[in-house]
Amino acid sequence: MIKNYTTLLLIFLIISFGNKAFAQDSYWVFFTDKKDVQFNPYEYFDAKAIARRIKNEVPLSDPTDWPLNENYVKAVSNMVDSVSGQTRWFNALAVIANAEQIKQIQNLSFVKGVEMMNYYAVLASNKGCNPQYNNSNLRTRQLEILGLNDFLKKGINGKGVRIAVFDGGFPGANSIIAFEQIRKEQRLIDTWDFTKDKAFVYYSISHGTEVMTNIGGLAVRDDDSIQYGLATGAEFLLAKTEVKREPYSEEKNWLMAVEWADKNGADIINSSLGYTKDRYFRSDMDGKKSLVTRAGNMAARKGILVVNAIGNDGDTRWQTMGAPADADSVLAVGGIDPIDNYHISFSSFGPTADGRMKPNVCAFGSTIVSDPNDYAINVQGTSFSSPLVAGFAACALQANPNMKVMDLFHLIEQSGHLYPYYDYAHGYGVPQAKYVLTKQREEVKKTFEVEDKGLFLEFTILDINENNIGSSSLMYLSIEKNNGKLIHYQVINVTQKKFMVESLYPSHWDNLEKITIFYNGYIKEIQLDK
Amino acid sequence: MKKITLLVLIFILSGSFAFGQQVLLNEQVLPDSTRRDWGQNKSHWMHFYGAFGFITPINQSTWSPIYFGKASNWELGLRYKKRITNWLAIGGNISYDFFNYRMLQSVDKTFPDQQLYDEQKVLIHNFSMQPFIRINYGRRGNIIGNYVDLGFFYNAIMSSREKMLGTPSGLDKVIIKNPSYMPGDYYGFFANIGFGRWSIYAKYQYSGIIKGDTRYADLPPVTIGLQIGFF
Repeated sequence: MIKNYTTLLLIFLIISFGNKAFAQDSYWVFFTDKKDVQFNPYEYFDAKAIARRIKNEVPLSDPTDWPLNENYVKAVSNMVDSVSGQTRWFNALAVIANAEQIKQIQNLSFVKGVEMMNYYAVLASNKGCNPQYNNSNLRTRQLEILGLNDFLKKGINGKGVRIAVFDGGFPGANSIIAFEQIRKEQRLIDTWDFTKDKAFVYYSISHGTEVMTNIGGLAVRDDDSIQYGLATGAEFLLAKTEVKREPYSEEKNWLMAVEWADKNGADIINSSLGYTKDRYFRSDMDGKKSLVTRAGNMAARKGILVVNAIGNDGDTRWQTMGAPADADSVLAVGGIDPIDNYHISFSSFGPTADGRMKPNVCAFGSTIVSDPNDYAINVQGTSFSSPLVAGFAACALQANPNMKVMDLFHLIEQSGHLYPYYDYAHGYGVPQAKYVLTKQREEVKKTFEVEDKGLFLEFTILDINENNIGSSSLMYLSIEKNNGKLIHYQVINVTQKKFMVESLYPSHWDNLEKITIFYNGYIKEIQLDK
Repeated sequence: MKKITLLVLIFILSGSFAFGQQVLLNEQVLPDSTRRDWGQNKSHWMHFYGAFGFITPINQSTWSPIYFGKASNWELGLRYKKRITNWLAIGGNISYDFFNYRMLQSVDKTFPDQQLYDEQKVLIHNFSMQPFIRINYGRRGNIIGNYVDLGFFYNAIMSSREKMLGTPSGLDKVIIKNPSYMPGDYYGFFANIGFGRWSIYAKYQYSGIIKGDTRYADLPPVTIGLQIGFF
């Protein structure tokens, strides 16, 4: 009996290891060229995609949009067990194959290279709800802080702007009240499930439904209406790219979805996920390494604004963003706490591995959404900061319809309430509708004086109001090196008229350029001559 | 003395202190923070681990019979790993490795003696040193991932006990400290099949523990168990 048991245990070990060691994997097979392919942009693209390309001065017949060479596809398909997808942008075929098959494929003259795929994505969401938040108050504030009233006054609601949402599932999106207007007005343009290759996306996890409500949810009941997002007039494309709530999925789906969104005329993509430590090192978050990061940049080159959550690893060992938030042309969105209006603990920090500022902007990291049962619930995660900004971007684009994508990107950055101050927790702060509508900043009076006393900075607040609470009491300080990168930053809660801040840098730090201080709109720089 | 303590305290606290104000966020951007050498799949990695396993009674006619399920192994150790390539690493463990051989009380037993007791154990406390090579499989980022460790262990016996309960002579308990048949050390091989922080381990005591004394069948050489890394 005991002998049998031991034998069984050994068999189990061998099978466990054997399965792992010899299983097939998913690969991208990159081709050298697109020789002899035919492409008609007017047949392939939606009219809106054509218009977007013309506006952004993107060639209508760009080789990256051409189909793959059918002969190459056939040849590789015959050598592997299955083909799971393809990307025109990167001229590659997704295959499932074993090591021996891959070895043979690599020897083909038209194969440029083979790369194993990443399977693991993390949806930047749902850390659980916070009972401290009052739902209706928070729901109003999550939009007002972005300038809801300024958009409403101008009748701006994202009308005519097409937004693609990439997520894990959209149960209830075809039935809940929050999207009734969208359905009535036939603004739900198209859907596709990249995990099962079919059109039906109204199942699986509710994350996508909740995210979408923070872009353009508006529940109208009798005389009452509940608004969850800014872009209540936008059009939508829904792509199911993730398999589970977290953590597993495939970069392949994201890549194929971004091309699908491009083809179907998306102006904006909201993506609330990130690829992090399961494949990458922190040093890989350099805007070049991952395929989805490169796809994010490629989308921008084709005139699409990609809005991506920065991630929820601020309080984990990973701490930094997940791809594609590291892409320089992807608008990475961080989270702030609705209670005290500064960085919410789980929101990932920048900069990128090569020292670029991320996140670009921020919004509430705890929001109210509609769930698939029409309940307004509190959710947390930068997954929900991102759609708030995607909705904002749609409104900004409606207000500036001729604006090219990177001009829109920079306009949103410049509208940040901290701009031009920035740090690696907040970026340029919360985007402001007033700025994107007027492109003018209100004149700010001096709010403080500061004197460098060597070991200390001595502050005198000029407009102190003892009752100030929330954002108006927050002072932001950063130290910049002469290479333009921040080395230290702080947020402090100002409660006194006069106070001192201990010098922010140790004496051995070299090459320091300046200290920048932001308080109630006023910015002061102190040059350091160290 | 008190003044100095106070000054030191003020100095330590002042690192992130705005006098009279509350510092809500204080972030220092380490220039090398994204390229440090330490990490689960970086050049160097070190962590504590714990393990629990059962001594397996393979071929009870050759080896001294034990109670399967009651004869156990505990280990607490520190592991260092040096990455050579993404799929190859070398490393070493140092650990406290404890074996509890619960001897089966059967009429044909010879070790440690032929008498029958209510309960009889041989307990060995080891200081263990374990160099190993690690083969990783599956692509990964800065995580431990899936791996197989193959290694050698050298156990220096710190102390040992033979413990008997319910002896034929009527004594409730007899303990023999560092029994004479116990050597000073022994060695063998081990393997781990790991999936992240969890791994299944197997140890094989190649040298034998009491092999020198031919009167006895040696203690069973194979231990199989579960290990968890604390990281």
